[in-house]
Amino acid sequence: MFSERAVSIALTAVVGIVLLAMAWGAQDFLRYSRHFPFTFGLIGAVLAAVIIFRDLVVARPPVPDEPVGDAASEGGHSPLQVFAWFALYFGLVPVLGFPLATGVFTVAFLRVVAGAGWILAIVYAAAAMGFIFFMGSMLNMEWPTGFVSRAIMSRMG
Amino acid sequence: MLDALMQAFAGILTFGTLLPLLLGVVVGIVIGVLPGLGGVVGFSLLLPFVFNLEPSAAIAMLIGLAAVVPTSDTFPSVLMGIPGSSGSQATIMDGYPLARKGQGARALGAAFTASLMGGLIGALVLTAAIPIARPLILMFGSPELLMLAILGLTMVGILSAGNALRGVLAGIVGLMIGTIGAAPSDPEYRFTFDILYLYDGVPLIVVALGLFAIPEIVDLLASGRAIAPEKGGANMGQLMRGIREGFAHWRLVLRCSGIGVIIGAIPGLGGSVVDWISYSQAKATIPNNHFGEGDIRGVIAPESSNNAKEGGALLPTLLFGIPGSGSMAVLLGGMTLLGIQPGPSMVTTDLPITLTAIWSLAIANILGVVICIALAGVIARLCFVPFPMLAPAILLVVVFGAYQATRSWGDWVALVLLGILGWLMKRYGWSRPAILVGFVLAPITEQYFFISMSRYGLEWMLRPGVVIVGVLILALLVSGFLLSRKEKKGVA
Repeated sequence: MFSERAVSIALTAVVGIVLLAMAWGAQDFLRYSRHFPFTFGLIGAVLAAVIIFRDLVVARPPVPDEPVGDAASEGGHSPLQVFAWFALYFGLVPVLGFPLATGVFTVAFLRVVAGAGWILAIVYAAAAMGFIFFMGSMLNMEWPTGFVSRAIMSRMG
Repeated sequence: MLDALMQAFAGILTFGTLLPLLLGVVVGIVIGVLPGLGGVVGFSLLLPFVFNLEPSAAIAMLIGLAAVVPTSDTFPSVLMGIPGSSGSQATIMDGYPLARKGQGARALGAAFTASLMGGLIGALVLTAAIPIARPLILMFGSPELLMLAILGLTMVGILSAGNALRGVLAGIVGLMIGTIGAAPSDPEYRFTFDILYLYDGVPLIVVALGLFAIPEIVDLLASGRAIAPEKGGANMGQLMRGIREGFAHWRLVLRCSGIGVIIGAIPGLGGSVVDWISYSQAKATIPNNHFGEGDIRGVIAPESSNNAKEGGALLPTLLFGIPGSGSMAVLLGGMTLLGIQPGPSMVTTDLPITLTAIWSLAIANILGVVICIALAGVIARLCFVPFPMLAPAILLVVVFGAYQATRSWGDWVALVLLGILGWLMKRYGWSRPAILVGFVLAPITEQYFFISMSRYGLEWMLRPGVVIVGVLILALLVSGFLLSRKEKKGVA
């Protein structure tokens, strides 16, 4: 397993590389558009290199040299699990459409993660969907539709 | 002038004006509580109603909304660590840590008191400045605006004290994210990779929600606890304590309100930086502070300035017809619909309308704060609910707020990517405010640098306004450095 320190240094390195790539890419821009991203991209890349050098050689590590923990706290969930729930939510949207996906996600999340009862979960989900429809009509918003909701709508004519 | 002021006051106290004002205040409070919905959305909601109103009543309604958004946006900033609007980003820095200590009601009490005083000071300055504002505002050309943007950028160093190198790097990351999209000086789209969503750049609200809201949701779900694991005392008692602290720090309120009015009055700088500038100068000048760990002064400073800024922003809007922000642009549109032509006539023939706007600003601030304080005790209880129960609602509000930006899938993709970046940065001790400050100031800095160089060459550096702001920047940096050195010595 990587240590916290190693991951921190890797993060700095990735940021530095991205900034360097942006500075490099900026050279292709028109004259006046080039200076700002080129200059700051380059300064950022150099700064990232300095920070990595400092962390590796000169100073004490910026974060404790402990293994990266993905374990959840007592009663909680690991960050990866939380991101997996986000992925499920956004994954449901193209299938069910935003309002329905929110309802399904809310029920599933409350049942599995919060340990709520069915009635509370369903009332909560209905309120969430109500909020979406209310705000949608107030602000004249069109929510992303899913193929299931599109199929239902086309059947209804 | 005094007679006209009294006449306008009498006019606003009629049912036909007070009711629209109250409606504006209520809509403004709701808009402020929901992240992503700023004044622009609020004005757009109210504009259809202004047609049937008298001009003074319509102005009262619109100003009522604008006045209270910076007050109610404190709720999500303090209680959930989610910026309610672009003007309440810095409130998170100390408001949220206070909420996590179970002192959310205290933070809200102090914030609302500071908002009230800031809003009233804004209205007062607006009244006093109307006759003399014109030459003052015209003093600010592109070089002065550039220096103010640089003043904002130097705050990055102050915000990331303790890990200055990483803070500056974070600021540069923000600047580079800010360069995505159309360039200000050439017909060029930068770093867009032919993705249509990126042509207008990444929206500020998506960046703010991604960097601040998503990491908090992830960490709170990972902990499995409530936002505030332990109660910090009775909500009512804390609320009163916060209110007392707001009044006790009146000097800080006065100073930050002054900053708010000045920044608000300068068209082109935008209200998104005013809270950061106030927060950073407070951090750099108050000795023995614990900013970032739940210092009540870290709530008071940005909250007083973001309300005061509205008074300042009305100056160029009314006197020149130049909107200082997006919401002021919509207000200007509303005034045009009503047949009111902003400009010099606002201090002559249309003076009653201007004075109605000022009174509306003052009264709306009072009404808004009273309503928010009445709600604060109840809403602060949310901090003690186990977070997994709150998470779907908060996630929905965040997702909804992000989608408001451009109403496309790109908002959600950017939200998740920035959320992952924000979570990593939070975990490894990077300054997320520094990214946000860099992001907000990138287009302004580049644009005014380009204009200053094209118009004045290097001589722009010799303009009196530039020199004054330059000295101010140096003074802030030196005082911040001396303070941190003194504190380090004290610790040693």
